[in-house]
Amino acid sequence: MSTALLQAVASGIALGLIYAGIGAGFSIIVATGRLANLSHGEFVLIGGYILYALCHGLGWPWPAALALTALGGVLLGATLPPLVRRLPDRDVSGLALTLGVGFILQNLLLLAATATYRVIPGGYWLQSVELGPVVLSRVTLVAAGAAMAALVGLDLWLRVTWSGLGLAAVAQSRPAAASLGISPARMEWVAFLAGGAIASGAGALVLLTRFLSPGEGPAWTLVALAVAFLAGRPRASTLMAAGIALGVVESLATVLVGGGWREVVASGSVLLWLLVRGRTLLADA
Amino acid sequence: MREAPRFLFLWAVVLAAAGVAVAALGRYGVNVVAFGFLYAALATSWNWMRSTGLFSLGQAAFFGAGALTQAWLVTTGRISPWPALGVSAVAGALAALPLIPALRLGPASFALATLAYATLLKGLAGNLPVFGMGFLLPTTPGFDGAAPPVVATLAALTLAGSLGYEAFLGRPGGRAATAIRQAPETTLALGIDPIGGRWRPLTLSAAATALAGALYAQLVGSVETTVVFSPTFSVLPIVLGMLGGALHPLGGILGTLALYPLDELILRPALLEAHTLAYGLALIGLLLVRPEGLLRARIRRIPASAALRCLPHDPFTLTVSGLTVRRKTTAVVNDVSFVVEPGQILRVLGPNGAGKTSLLLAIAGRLPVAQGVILFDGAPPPRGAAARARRGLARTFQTPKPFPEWTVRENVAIAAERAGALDEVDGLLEELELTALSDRPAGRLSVGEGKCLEFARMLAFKPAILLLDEPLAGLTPEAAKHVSGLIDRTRSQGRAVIWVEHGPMAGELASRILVLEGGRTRFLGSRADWDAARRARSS
Repeated sequence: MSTALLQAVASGIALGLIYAGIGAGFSIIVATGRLANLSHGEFVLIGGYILYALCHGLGWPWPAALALTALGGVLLGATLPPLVRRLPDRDVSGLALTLGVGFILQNLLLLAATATYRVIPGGYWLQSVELGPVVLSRVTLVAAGAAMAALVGLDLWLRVTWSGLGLAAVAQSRPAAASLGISPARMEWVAFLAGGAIASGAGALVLLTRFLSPGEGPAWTLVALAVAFLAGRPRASTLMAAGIALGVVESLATVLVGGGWREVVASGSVLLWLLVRGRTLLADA
Repeated sequence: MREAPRFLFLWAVVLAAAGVAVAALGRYGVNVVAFGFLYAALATSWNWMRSTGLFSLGQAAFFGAGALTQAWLVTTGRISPWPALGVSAVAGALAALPLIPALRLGPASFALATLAYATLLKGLAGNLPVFGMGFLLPTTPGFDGAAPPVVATLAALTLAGSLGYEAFLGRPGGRAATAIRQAPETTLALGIDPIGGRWRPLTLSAAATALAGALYAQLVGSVETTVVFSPTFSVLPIVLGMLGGALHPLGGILGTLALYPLDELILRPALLEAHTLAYGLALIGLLLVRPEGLLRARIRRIPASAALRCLPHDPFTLTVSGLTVRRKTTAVVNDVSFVVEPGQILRVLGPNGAGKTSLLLAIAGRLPVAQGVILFDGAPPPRGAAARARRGLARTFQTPKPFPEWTVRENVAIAAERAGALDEVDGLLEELELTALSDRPAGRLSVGEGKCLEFARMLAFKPAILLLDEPLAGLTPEAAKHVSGLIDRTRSQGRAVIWVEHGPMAGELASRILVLEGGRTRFLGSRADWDAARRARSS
């Protein structure tokens, strides 16, 4: 394999880990909240903007800024359950509702942050690190490592803690979970809050590696959709595999064909998955 | 208000508002009117697709396809704008073709597929050198910006969209589309293929949206892929269409009239970059307060003269030989054979999980046959559940699946229309003791009433073979006896019946009895043989 392709694969893996982080929050909300949150991309962007404002505007250290970013995501997640509960159905109405929420958030971002692209100034963090034949920036490695650590932590939470097991139980069967004294409504709240926090945290990682723009939300939503669909249930291993697959394909496409292929790869993956595995109009006989 | 006066009144308001805008605002007013018609046309096209239950999140795919085609034809191809408009509309219809496999998806999955498709086209167009740089359209005398021909064409497109939608809903195709939206499985049992009933509205909507995109290109004079494929052109039709009432032909126009002037004349000057905030707020408010929109769907009466698809359902013999049906790797029906002649009732008995329902589903064409054959009058049956229903196979469901928005009468009438027997609807309602409920929406029936309606609908279809899945469950003893009598009368009219039932009356009225256990045949014989076998076992 040529050095250029190796470099593309390495960049794709790093990128894919961040994609996995973006898909994780979406996946939890789909599994337990039974809602495909089309405003997820805006949640990601808002996380990035919060971190930008705190670090670049107020000079906060990153750890503290990241904690407040996650808290912002929790608040965003908390806006959904009261709205969702009043819907006639979660399928189509849920999609339309979150589409509307995303539209509002995008406009609010335009008002608050304008359409100007935002980037964290590089300095030390943009310096490259050589890993054999491939070269990655320190910041990319930090973001990918942070995403991986967050996903492993998420996995532990879902497998070991009572609240995590409750989420998994409700995702599989609400009546069965309720019969064991696990409140599906409460678990839905937990899913929305956790999903919001993870989305915003992932947005902070996006800020480390790319620019921010208010119009980018739908593209991040598609990335989240692609990762969540390909991964199936919210597990670190499957999320990472799905994210890395997307990231590597995107990187290779960019090297081999050129141009911006993130949206094409993500949307193509979602479309293919739906055509093969999507829920059909006629219930399974 | 009745439809024709409502239609005329709304259009009078639209034209008056357009006149006031032009008189008060001059050239800018003409622009406002042009965009108003553009959005109304987009919303009406989206609504038309919605009538079949399809929810598109990706109308921008068709809009962008139309705008790019128009721009490419008039710039690179140097074609006059008029013929280019026609080609652009065709391009929009062609852009819908890759979505036809997605028509088998449920509403939410289809919506996500359209969202992904619009983004895919946007990404592909942006990466193609021929489109990526965008277009600056050449000036064409009398066809630039909000010139009268452009505005008039947009108005005509809106008018044609609403008239076409109205006409569509009144025709059998429109009733089929409405039926698919309400209960796709039941529609299939009436011989209507859900995919076949949906592709026309999809392609028509795509063509109209592409035409609007082409007119947008002429209106604005330039086209960029990021703009014409932007989510705005997916979201606006949804908000405006739903606000007016997605299931009403005038919904798109009313929604635009209600929201667009507010946006254009008040919000845009105040919040230039974020003026579309109102659309997001309107969408959420609408979903929470009045999800059906300002104009509710009108129940279309099926005219008594409608007998457009008289289906020949002559009696025939059903032969099942060595039938094996698998669900994943498990054989749920295993090497089952029997013959049912016209005028016979085959009762299928067995414990839960015996394979009774799977057997019915395989005969109906809803489960694939792993081994063995099913023959209709000695010949292989048509492929697919809809085709088999059209051949004369009718089924009832364990849990009633009526068309919930239609009245009891309409539920029976849609089946009678398929059989060319609309004059028998009232008699059937009376026989099933449903006359008092005939004007009640079927979604408000009890389980027992729903079972009776299932049976009435099936008889109205005049089938050759009846597949009954526990038709008596949930009925009172009196109603069960009554329905049993009707089944027997249906048999005496020369129809074959396969009847799955638990309960104490399980063996009654049977010509033959089939007992399944673990998917295999445990008993197959006459009623007398069955009684003898039971006596032998008890002694």
